[in-house]
Amino acid sequence: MKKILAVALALVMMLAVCVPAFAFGEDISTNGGQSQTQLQTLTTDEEGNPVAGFTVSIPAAVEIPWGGTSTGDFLNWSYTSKLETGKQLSISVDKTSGNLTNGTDNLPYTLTGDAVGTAFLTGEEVTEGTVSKQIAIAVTGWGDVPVDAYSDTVTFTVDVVDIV
Amino acid sequence: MKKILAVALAVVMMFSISVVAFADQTITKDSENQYATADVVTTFDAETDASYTVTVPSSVQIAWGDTSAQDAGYSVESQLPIGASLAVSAAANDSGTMKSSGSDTLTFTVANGAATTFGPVNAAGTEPEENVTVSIASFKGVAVGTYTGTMTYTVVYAAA
Amino acid sequence: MKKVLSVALALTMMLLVCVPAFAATITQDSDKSANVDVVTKTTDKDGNPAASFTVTIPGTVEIPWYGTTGGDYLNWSYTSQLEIGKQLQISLDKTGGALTNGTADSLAYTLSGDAVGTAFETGEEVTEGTVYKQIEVAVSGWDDAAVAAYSDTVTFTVAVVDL
Repeated sequence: MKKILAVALALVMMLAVCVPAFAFGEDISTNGGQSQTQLQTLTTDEEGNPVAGFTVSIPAAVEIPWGGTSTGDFLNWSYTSKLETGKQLSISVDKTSGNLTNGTDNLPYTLTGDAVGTAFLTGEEVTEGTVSKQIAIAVTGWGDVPVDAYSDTVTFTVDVVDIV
Repeated sequence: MKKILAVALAVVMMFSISVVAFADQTITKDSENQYATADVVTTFDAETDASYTVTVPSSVQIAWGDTSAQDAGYSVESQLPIGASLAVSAAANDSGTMKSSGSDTLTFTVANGAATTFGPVNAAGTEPEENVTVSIASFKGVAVGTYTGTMTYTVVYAAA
Repeated sequence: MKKVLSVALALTMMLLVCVPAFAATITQDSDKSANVDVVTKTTDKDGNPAASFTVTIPGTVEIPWYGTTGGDYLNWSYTSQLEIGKQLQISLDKTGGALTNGTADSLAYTLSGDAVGTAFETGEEVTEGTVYKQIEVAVSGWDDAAVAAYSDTVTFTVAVVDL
């Protein structure tokens, strides 16, 4: 009787080994065997707040001295991101050029750099620290207008899009 | 049949008390009566002719976890002299302690073990009104194994 | 004829199982007392092996992003009532690994506690109630991985072995 029971137990154990789909969290009892636990991270922190996020920092104002800076004038901006899998930032400015105006006269300017003309895609979900960017501002016609404070507004737009 | 034998035996015994010996009788053509009577009488030895058998279990097996009363009953068969009796009792040894190959123990208790008195004649298979049982109250907290305890059945014969 | 004999044999064997063997007698010629053994079986009244145990593990252990301040734990427990001389042996299939989300990203983790690395042996046949155990799960690399549900599977194996 004992030999028969031992063989039956061995067969049951072999079948238990052969079956690939284990049930998770099932009690193990009587004749021994295996069960599985799944370790799983959440996308929220321990307070339950979503973890995914980003920061794009832009200056409130860029001051350009009359006649421009000899080494160039720049709009410095930066970003960090920690996004969900398969996501990236898309950052764009609303113009490639324009006119600084005082309400009467204009100083034309052009912008060059990432996010100008074409949206800038960060290409990754997670940045290594803060990524710094520059947009060059080239102002012309300094000699054609009265000295004054001339200004214009540049708008940044940020979206979270899929990494393609 | 047994009751008839018992009555006949009683009658004969009464005669055996009053008459020491029966003398031979002869009947001749000159006898007053042409008949005579001869008694047929049984004799017995109270020590060797009385018999009884009390049958007890060879062992009592209890399934693990079964706390119900288990049959540990006995039966009596006897043919004793008038006035004799048997008293049968059962009791647990060592307070019902059951031991195993390990260090744990279990305890069993005996029910209906107090002495029961039986009269002289009992047919085979005669049992007391409430027969003996044993039980284990709890199997908790001990390793599963073969635990053994002992109980003793005792018979006391009372002569007439 | 053979069928009749086999049926008769089966009936006889059944009767032998059902009827207890009354073999001890006390007579006028024997000792006036007889000892009878009272013996437990290792099977229950349905004939099933009485020894039993239960090891309980969770289906899932959820770990918040960046982990829990007091630590993250896989809580498991066991009870046993085994045969004399036996104990449970419980082991895990890994001491650590990588939580993955189906992409190239992963989060490394290590496990520490009883049954990790070395099999845990309970040291007794019978437990006093349920025994509770903890395995600490330490995840690292939170800042380097995209936010997602990362997972891995841990397998518990239980065996009954000699003390």
